[in-house]
Amino acid sequence: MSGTRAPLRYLILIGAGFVMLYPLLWMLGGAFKPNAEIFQSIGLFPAHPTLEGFTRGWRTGTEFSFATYLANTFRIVIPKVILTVVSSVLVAYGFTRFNVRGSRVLFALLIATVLLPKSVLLIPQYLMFREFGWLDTFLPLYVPSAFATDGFFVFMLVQFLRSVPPEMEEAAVMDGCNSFQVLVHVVLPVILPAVISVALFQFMWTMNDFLGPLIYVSSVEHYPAALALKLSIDVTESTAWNEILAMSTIALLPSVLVFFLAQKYFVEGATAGSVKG
Amino acid sequence: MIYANARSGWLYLAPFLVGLAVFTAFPFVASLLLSFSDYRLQDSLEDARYIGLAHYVAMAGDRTFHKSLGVTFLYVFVTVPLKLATALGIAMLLNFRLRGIGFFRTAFYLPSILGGSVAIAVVWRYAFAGDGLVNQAIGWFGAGPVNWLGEPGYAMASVMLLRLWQFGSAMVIFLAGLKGIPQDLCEAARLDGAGHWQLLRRITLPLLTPVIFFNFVMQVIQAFQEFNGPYIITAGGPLKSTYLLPLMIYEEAFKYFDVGYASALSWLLFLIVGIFSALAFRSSKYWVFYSAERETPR
Amino acid sequence: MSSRVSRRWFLGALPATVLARRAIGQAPVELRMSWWGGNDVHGALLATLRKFEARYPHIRVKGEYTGWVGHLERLTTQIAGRTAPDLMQVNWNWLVLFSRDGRGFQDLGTLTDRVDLGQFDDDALATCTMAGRVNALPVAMTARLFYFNASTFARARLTLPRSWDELFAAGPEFRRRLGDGFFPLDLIFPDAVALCRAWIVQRSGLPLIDERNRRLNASAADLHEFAEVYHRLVQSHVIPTARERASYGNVQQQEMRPWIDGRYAGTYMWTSAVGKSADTLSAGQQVALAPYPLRPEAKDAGLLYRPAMTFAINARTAHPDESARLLDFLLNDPDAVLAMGLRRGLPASRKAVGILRERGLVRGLALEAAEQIAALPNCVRESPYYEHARVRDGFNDILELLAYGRIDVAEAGRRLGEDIPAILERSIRT
Repeated sequence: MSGTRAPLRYLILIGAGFVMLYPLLWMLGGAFKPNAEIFQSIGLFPAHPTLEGFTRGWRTGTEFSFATYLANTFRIVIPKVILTVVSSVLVAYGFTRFNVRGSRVLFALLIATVLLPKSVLLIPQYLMFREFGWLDTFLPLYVPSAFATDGFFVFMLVQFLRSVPPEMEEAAVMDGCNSFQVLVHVVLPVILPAVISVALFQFMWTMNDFLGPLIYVSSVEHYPAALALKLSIDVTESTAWNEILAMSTIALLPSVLVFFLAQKYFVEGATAGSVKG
Repeated sequence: MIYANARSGWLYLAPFLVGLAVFTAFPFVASLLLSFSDYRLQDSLEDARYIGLAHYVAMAGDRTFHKSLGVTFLYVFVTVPLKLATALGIAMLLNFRLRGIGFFRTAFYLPSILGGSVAIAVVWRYAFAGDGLVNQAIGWFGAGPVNWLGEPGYAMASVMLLRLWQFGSAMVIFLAGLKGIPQDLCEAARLDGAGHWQLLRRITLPLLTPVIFFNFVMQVIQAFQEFNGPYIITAGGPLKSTYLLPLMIYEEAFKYFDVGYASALSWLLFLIVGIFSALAFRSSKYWVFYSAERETPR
Repeated sequence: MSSRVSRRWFLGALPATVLARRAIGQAPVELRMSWWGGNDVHGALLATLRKFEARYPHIRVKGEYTGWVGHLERLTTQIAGRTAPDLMQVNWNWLVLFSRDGRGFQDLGTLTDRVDLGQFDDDALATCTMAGRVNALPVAMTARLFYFNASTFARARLTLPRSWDELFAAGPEFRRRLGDGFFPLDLIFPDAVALCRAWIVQRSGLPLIDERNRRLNASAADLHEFAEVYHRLVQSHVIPTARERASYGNVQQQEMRPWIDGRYAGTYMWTSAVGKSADTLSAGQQVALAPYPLRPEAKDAGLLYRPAMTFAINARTAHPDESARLLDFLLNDPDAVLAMGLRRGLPASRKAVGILRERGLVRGLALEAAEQIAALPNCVRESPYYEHARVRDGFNDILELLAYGRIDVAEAGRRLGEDIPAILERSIRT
């Protein structure tokens, strides 16, 4: 609190920050090192920087290059994010702007789904998708999002919407707009920051999703990057760490880029759900 | 509420209702039914046989299950307090007009964004390998290499460290909560002669209790569902020392194909989390202080 | 083929020839085939498929292949989801998972006009027969034998062990002559379980798993010995401790530095897989096959003789005829046999062996292994449940606890007697 303690504070924070970032920096440095050098030093900077980790790792040990796996990842993430945003906005609007009987119960159910451990639903959902014939496709990974199954985002938007005064919407209604027009033209622009947060969080969570693809995707050609990485550490060839670190770096690149571009929205989004609730 | 017409409301809620029924309620009930049946993944569904509580009885005698339950509890009850304490501590340190806030936010928050990914788990595995980053760092301080992935206790430590590394998301929430504490309250207290510690205990913490509660519940629920780390870093070993319950459920269903037993295990996990959540909400009356109400914390 | 022209065969052949006549110049057929293996296997099989397509221009074959890890999960998903390929590489012990009643795969006995079952001896066919129906054909038969690094043993001036006693004695000798870091044998837990099993089976002459009664064909004393053998191997410095092995990380056995350098100088390995281990040895080192240790009056060598892998045809395939042709091609046709060579061990098909022999390709370790197996008492046919995932993990877990000193030998023996039968009861379904 006082000025004399500031240097100490900075020291602790910088030290802690460095320790926190070290694994990421090590990964990045290791990706550029020749394989043998990784074991020799913990130095972050490669003594003999090389791109061979990337070039060899990109080719992967399979018949597909990493490009295929990254493309698959986006084939899952993009639909999922879009469907999540659309359905969450619609449902949140329904909860907050309409006098629906039993909406309290439904809202409580929504909270319950957020707190529910997903492992209890995993197997029946798998069997259900199997009966649909959706195994080894990406459908089980994003179709549920069209139905606002990620309750956390609905919750977040509801909290946000509750704090938005309805005057502008009421004015629009008096001008003769129906609820959907009000939603699109009046509400959406106002809640846009929250919507962006939803999109970003779902983007990140889906990029990181592993268990979903693990149980639903069985052909190597449909593997997203997460499964391809796991495959690469199971290969029978000798451990090429630099390749694996290089591919890990690439797999994380989209998330890191998004994070840096939109840090603000992450922070605001994370807090919107918690503090106001 | 601005629309008296409820019908459109139902329309907007329709996706949620369908999703609730199809993707949550139905699997939920199905899971319970499966836990009462003997069903193997390679069979067609018609072959499922009803066996009552046999799976639950089997659990009571299953040594592996006991071990898994034990390590899961250990994992949750160690990582959650540590993670919250770290998050709160760093948040308090950050709660000032600091220069380089961007760097700090990146350093502390980015890991929690990336940490749940396979890429990080893979990096973690290599970092804790015999001649990996961690042992090299330890060696730099003169200590001997640790068999992180080969020794039961250390393997669990490496998995726990991965979760702890991701404290950033909780930290950000704490920061927001800290910013919500009215400064004039603190000033008044300081003027009255309150010391640093008293300020913390009497003002900061009580006012933070809603945020602490929220973080606590979310963290515990997430910790009980940890899968990526143990699966990729240690594959549940050595000696099942990192065989967390979600991993056991996965293996029972997708490696041993014993869907009935896996469903029973998942229901048990649900009950544990449910009981815990209920207890947490019950207890919140006693220690969570919402400034809107006039109750004083005990 | 034999010259039996029984009425049944004739009646069967008639529609088949009609179909065959129709097959020439008819609608194209696409088959899907799945397998697992390393990159060289993939290359060889893909080349073989192209040759097959050249032979039968109206058939196209799409190859779906992966590594070993996760293959069973994927296959299970496909079979349960009715999206399995027409021809599948199936591990021997999975037949009992998918086809307890013999109907889980095509009955090859009904396709004998397309695929020549006569090239396989009865023993081999029996391992692939479920409830009287031949569900699959073995690609190669395999067994576990003792292979050692001849160079390291030469350095130690020791001959390869020829008996159990010599094996146990090699440990202290290695330590004395080469140092603490040298071991005559390296075992991962599945290998160790198999070795201990061999010890028991040699005396009992029975399969370890009694499938019918869902228990072990081993007394409490036997199981105590089971654990004792492992313990003795570690104590006598024959194999490295589990802790030491674990410190090298989760690396495949043939990729471990100590093996490559020759410090871990032996392995108890499948004849069909030993190539992998021999390949990674650093320059100047060689793998040699040792005589198989037998207990006095051993009724059986305890080899775990079974198919290395099999090919089976999807029970629901739309093209049983073409799939059977592909199967026959892969196992019996000279082009396919030569393309594959000895990559998967000595082929099970007599015709294939003949083809390789003609070219002088049957030599080296594969030939020695085949001769050794033929010379050993080999009548025990282990139950496929021995390699059931849960059973296998059950054995591994107990040995692991013993290896880490969490339980002693007596307790390990006890647990084998309690836990494994319980696992069998859960896993073996009637």
